[in-house]
This record gives sequence, C-alpha cells and structure tokens, in this order.
Amino acid sequence: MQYVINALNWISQLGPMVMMPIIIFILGLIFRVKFATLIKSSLTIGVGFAGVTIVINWFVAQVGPSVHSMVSHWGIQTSIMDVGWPARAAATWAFPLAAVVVFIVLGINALMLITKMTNTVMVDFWSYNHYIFTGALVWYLTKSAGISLLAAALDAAISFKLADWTAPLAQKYFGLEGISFPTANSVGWAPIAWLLNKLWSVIPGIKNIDARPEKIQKKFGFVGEPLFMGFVIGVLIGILAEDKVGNILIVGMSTAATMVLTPKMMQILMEGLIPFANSIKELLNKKFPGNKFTIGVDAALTVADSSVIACGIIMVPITLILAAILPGNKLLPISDIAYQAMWLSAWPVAFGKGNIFRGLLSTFVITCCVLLIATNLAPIHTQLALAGGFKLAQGMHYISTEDAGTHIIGFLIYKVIALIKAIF
Amino acid sequence: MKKKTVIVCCASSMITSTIAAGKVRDIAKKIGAPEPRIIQCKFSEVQGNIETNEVDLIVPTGRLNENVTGNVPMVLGTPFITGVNVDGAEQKIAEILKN
Repeated sequence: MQYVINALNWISQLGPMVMMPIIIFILGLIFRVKFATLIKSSLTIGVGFAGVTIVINWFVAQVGPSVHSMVSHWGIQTSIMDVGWPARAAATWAFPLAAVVVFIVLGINALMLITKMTNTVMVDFWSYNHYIFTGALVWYLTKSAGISLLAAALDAAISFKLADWTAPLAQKYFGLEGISFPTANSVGWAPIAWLLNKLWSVIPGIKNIDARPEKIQKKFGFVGEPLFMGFVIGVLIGILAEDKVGNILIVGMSTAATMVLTPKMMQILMEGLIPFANSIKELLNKKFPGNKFTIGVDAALTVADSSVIACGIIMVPITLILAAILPGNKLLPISDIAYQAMWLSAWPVAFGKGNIFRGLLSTFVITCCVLLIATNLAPIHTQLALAGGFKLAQGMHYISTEDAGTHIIGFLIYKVIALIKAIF
Repeated sequence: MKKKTVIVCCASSMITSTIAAGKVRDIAKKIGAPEPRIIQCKFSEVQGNIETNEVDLIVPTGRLNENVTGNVPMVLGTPFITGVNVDGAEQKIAEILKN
C-alpha cells in the first residue's frame, strides 16, 4: 500500500495532464480495455484536463482583478471567486489517491450487493469523483491515507442507501425505470428535501398553495443559457468594479467564454473516460447476471424535468441576492449559478410532486446551506485546486465553488472527523 | 440520405450527453448514413438551439417536456446511459437518420 502511495505521489507531481493518462492507462489494463482504445482514451483524458486548466486559469486571470476591485470598492462580502464545478472535478481527479478510491468504492458496492444491503449498481464512473472529493477533504485535514479512504468509502455507502430510498420516487416522478441516483452531492439533499416538504404540508397558509407555472421556461429560458448569463454577470462585475467601458466588455465576454468553453473541454475529457465506464459496466453485468438491481446513474438526469428547470430559473437571481446578504457567506457564485440552481431544485420539486412553490421554499433553504458550506471549505478547496495545477490571480487568497457546497454528506463526515481530531 | 442535424442534450452538456452523442455517431456509421452534425448542449439551451438551427432530431438523456421540443421528433437517450432497452432507441434513431 505504502509503495503504491509513494508511486502515486511521484506521478502526481507531474500534474494532471501527465498523471491522469498514466493512471487511466493502468486502470484500463486492469479492466482489459482494448489496447488501441486505451491509448487513445488515455491521451484524450490528458488533453481534456489541459483544456479545463487552460480555460479556468485564463478566466481567473481575466476576471479575478475585477472581482477583487469590486469587493474592495463596495466592501462586498463575496470575496471568494467561484471557479466552476469542472475545475473542482478536475482537481479532484488529480488527487493522488483518486484511483485507490475508485477500487475501494467498487469493492464496497460489490460487498453491499452480495450482502443485499443495497440494490444500486454504481456504474456511473464519472460520479465517483464526489466520493474522491470527500476523501480529499479528509486527507488535507488529517494527512492520513487510511482515514481519507475510510471517509470516501463511508460517503459511498451512505449514497447507495439514499439511492435505494429515493429510487421509487425517481421512478414515479422522473419516469425513469430501473434507475437510482447515487450521486452523492444530489441525493445527499434528499432527506432534507423530504423533511422540508413535510414541514410545508403542516404550515397553514403554505400547505394549500400549489403553483405549476408552465410558461416560465418559455419566457425566461435565456436565464438557463450560459452564453447569456455569463455575459450579463460578467458585465455586472465590471460595472461594480468601476472598470472602464472597454474592460467591462472584456470581463463580460471572458465570463461568457468561460461558461461556454469549459463544458466543451469537459466533453473532450468525457470522450476519453467513457470506455472505462463501459468496461466496468460489462464486468459488473458478467458478475451479477439476471439481477433485480437498479442502475445507479448521474443525477444530472433529474434536471430534464420542466418543473425543475422552472424552479432553477427562478432560483438564479435569488441565489445572487442571497450571496450578497446571507450572513457568513463569502462566495460569489458565477460560473455554475444556473446549473447548480437546477441541480439543487431536483429533489425539492420531486418531493413536492412538481409543485414549484414548495420546490422553491425548500431549494431556498438548501441554497443557504450550500453557500455556507462552500465558504467553509474554501481554504481546503484552494489547496486542492493549487495541487491540481490551478493558479490564483493577484490579490486572491481563496477560490471555491458552489459545487463544493453541494457535498453535504462529505462535509458532515469531514466535520465529524475534525471534531474527533480536536478531542484527541 | 442527406446530412442530418441532431441535438444531444443533458443537464450539464458534458457527461451523459457525451455518451449519447457517441452512440448517435455509431448508429449513423452502422446504417451508412452521413455522420450527423451533432449539437451537444444543456437541457436549458435546447429551445434556443431549435430556434437558430434546422434540427431533425432531439436525443435528451432525461425526459424533456414537449412544450420545449416543439415539432422536432424526440428519441429518449436514457437507454444509452442505463443499458436498458438500447435496441429500441437505436432503431428509432436509425429510422430518422435514414429518411
């Protein structure tokens, strides 16, 4: 084990662009991916990582100074810049123990399937990054590989149980047969959404309101378009920073460019990763033929629902206002604001059976938690990002992502371990 | 057979849509149709893309509401993610790419 960790540490110094192809290549050999495919995949993943890093670093360099002067001009509390979830995910995959976590989670999943503790088969290889993120948080806290791996395993186990619990609702409301969502940073909010929905159904005056506005997406659909929102938010930052007109336009265009380009870079990365997901799927199907299992997939599938999209659209301006006035929040949500708003709306809307009014109330409470968690995790998040090859602009102390704040299970595990560490 | 334009979409435009887009290209290759022009985007960008492009088919990985997709034919791409009922989805897509 120690030998493996030393080897991984050496490789990780080379940065994700070089490290990831090597790790993927080794994983591919173990899962018997076809050799020609494997070479192409490994190199493609490296290129994808380079792409994400290039775009995010450019974004921080272009927009960072304006964010900085906006904060100092107005004494605004949001001094931590949101660099977007692809940056968080890329830095997470570049965490030295990432490959080890993948194997441990696969093992935990197999063990729970055999002992009938879960019905969820986690084939969504990409979403393993959420368990790795928990492992990374705990590693930066304890510097202990063992405790960090244990935390990641616990995160996965809890996510599988929650996926089992929410599977009936997912099938009924989202109309997806034989599916569950063990995506930690989505399903982790399900119990809270369930509880809040129970609360709304007993409060007089709230319990009878049922809103299902069909026209929201038709009228305000542009809010969900990153191209548009990026430009608008960028220009707003430029104006608040009291930049010259030319610079306001540059900041606006840079923000729009980042929101459009980052997904494109991520698509390249994904094209490299997919053969692995498929190989692991085949391996699991061979080992457990004719099963009654649900297939665990990415919770991103929940965001297709029109009530969820409508709820998310309304949450975008609310999130911006919240960020400015919520006591204790220091995060300025930029790059993911529309995506995260929809992502967080999924369970509140599902438990409210499509009632947007209830969905909004619950999502509002959840968004407050997300902002505070993202603020709290900023120091560790910054360490993780720097280790993953990202650079801070002048005058920036921390970066974070709204996405980091969505990792509720990981955050709770991290806090419990911090508490234990403080006692001993 | 003329070159078709296909919108493949998911929540983030990055993860599941990349899987489905690969499948659509494979299907075109299998039936000898020209490789379609694929617009890979977010669910929330579908409306805008229909307005600015001549779209022949939409393949969302999650259930999209019809008031968004208008008159464009839609084939659910969820089977490509779950591995359940893949053949049915492949056939429907092949039909549209052939015409």
